Amino acid sequence: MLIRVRLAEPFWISVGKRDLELDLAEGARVSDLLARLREEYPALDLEMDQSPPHIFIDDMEANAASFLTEGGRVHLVWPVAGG
Amino acid sequence: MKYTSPIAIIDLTSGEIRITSTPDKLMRAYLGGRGLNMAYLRHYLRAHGDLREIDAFDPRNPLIIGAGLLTGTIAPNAARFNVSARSPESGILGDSNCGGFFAAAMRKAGFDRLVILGRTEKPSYLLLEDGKISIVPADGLWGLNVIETQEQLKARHGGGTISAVIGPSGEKLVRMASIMTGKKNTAGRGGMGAVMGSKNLKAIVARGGETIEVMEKEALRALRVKQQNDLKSSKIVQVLGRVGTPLLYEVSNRLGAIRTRNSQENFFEDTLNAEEIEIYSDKMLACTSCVVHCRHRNTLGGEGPEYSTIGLLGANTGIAPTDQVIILNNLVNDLGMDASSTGTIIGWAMELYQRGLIDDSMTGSPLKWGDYEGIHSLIEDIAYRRGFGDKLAESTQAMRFFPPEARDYLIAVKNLPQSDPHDVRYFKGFALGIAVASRGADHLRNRPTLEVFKLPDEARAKVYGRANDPNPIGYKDKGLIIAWGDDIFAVSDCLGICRFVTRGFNSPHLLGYEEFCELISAATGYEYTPETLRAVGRRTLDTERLLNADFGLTRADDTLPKRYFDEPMSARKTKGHHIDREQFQKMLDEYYTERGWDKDGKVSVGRIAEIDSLIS
Repeated sequence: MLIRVRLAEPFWISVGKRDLELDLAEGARVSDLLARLREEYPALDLEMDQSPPHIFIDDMEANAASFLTEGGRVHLVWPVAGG
Repeated sequence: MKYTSPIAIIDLTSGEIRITSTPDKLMRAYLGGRGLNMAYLRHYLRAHGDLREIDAFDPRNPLIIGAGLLTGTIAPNAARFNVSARSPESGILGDSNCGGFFAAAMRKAGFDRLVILGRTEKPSYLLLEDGKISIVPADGLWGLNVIETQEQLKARHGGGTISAVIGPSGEKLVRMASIMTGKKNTAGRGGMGAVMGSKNLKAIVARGGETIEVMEKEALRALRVKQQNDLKSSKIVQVLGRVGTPLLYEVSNRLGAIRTRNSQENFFEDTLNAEEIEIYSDKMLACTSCVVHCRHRNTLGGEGPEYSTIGLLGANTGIAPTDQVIILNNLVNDLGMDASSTGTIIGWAMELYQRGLIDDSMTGSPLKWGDYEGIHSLIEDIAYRRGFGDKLAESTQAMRFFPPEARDYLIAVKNLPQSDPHDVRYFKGFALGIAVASRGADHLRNRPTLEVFKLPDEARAKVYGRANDPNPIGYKDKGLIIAWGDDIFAVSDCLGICRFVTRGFNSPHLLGYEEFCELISAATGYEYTPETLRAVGRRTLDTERLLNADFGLTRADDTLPKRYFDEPMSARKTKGHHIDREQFQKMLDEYYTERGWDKDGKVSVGRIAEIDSLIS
């Protein structure tokens, strides 16, 4: 199934683009997606170790165990707040 | 060499100017910037008896411009100054913090602090030059916008001239008028520009002078190199240097915590994400001695926008097109108004119109969410006090023109509109922070940004001094973390150091008390420990509490907009969240205990005597 991924600041820098599309097996979870991203983009692997992202699927918060669905958009967002 | 801090007391009515030094005991108690401003503000206001009888536009209201202790030195990000007076917007202590290049120029010209009293008969400006001050007629300047005023002053006084000025809104006593330096650097909060306008003062111009003397030049240089290297390795510093504060918009929006259409909703369009802002940015700019470089120069003629402006002139008024928000940002800056208050007050008026609480008979034309042309005109009408804009120019005090229920929709605390676009109903520490902030609803006094990190328990205990509950959406231990933020942010304001390199603001690292102590020692020879330095922050907070008590504030004023208590958030992860009134009171109890105040939030008699003894 096709999963769209949105990489917010600063994660996209490691990949070179903000939006990705990945083909994952039916029944895949967020953990499978993260493993794939870490494997394909070693710099992102390091980045996520340093700054674990908040994960959202569309408008809902998700975690590593959350199931992915066809057409869903996964957002990796840096946990930060300020002014 | 003994460290001295020159201060000028300027009476615009008589033309008398007295130049002296801040007494050593007072210097060591408050250091500079915000703390020293607060001590002088309280002193000059109390000299006239009941503070409540001195209106913000009374010539006796002192306008105090104070550089931080380290401002203008090579200490990292030491660019900042505070402007303080009784606020015409909130009616309580007014205090606004600003970056740019003005404060360093003011110190080089020979002055760490100005106390401006009285009122000139005709529009004037102050010229600070080589240790001297002149009051100069502002012929040809009155009525000009912010950028043109500064260009004219530069043409008159030559290169190297740096000015802090007001725009037409300050002249017209708009209660959210700011003092501006450069195209965007703003002493924005609390209407300090209107106080300046009430004194017929168009500008303060600094030029000439020498490099600021420090006690141990080489030691300070070594600290600069080390701290700069450490700061530049920080992820938040790197990201702010690349995209600036707009990065925060997407984070808050994805969470569902962007104040939208006057906080009726909590998320908005992706058109205001940082990458969209970047399309209109051609350079990142810095302030004096900055290592971050967080300010965009935009291709539409101005600088910025910051996250706060994006949220409050964008989502809060329903405007989604990126270019329109940037143009409005440039407009409020050039007119000399606080973007946070302007966006909040316009959003409030739009909801009142939406609900039928006001209509065309008052507004003159419909107020529609997202109506760029209408909002552009309304901003100009506020600045020039035309039509309905004249009413909104009263900021929160426009309440007197509206039906009583209008107050239910006003997003303000202590009559100051909320500064930032983050809806605080989700993170409970954020809510407590704006409720107790000494100048009213403001995130820069104590925002516990570390709440959004999932820091290990040991790390949290190390930062805050003891174990604490890591749940950011619970109510426990929020008094502890807000009191901690209060103190360290007050200290960085006393030193003139930017929040973006201060520990606790988006990172548990950056510069903390230990690093501040080293910088102070090298620059001035004053010796502090982390404990005695934190005590400066506590003293500043207590002085502010005493000022506000003199203005008549009580525990009941440490509260939140009604909507934050009574209306759950509507969507995304934050859906259903609101502030429980009973739990809020428990947070307040805990906060007062941490601050050493009694259950009514009062400073102890012994502490009052100690603070009173510092200045006479």
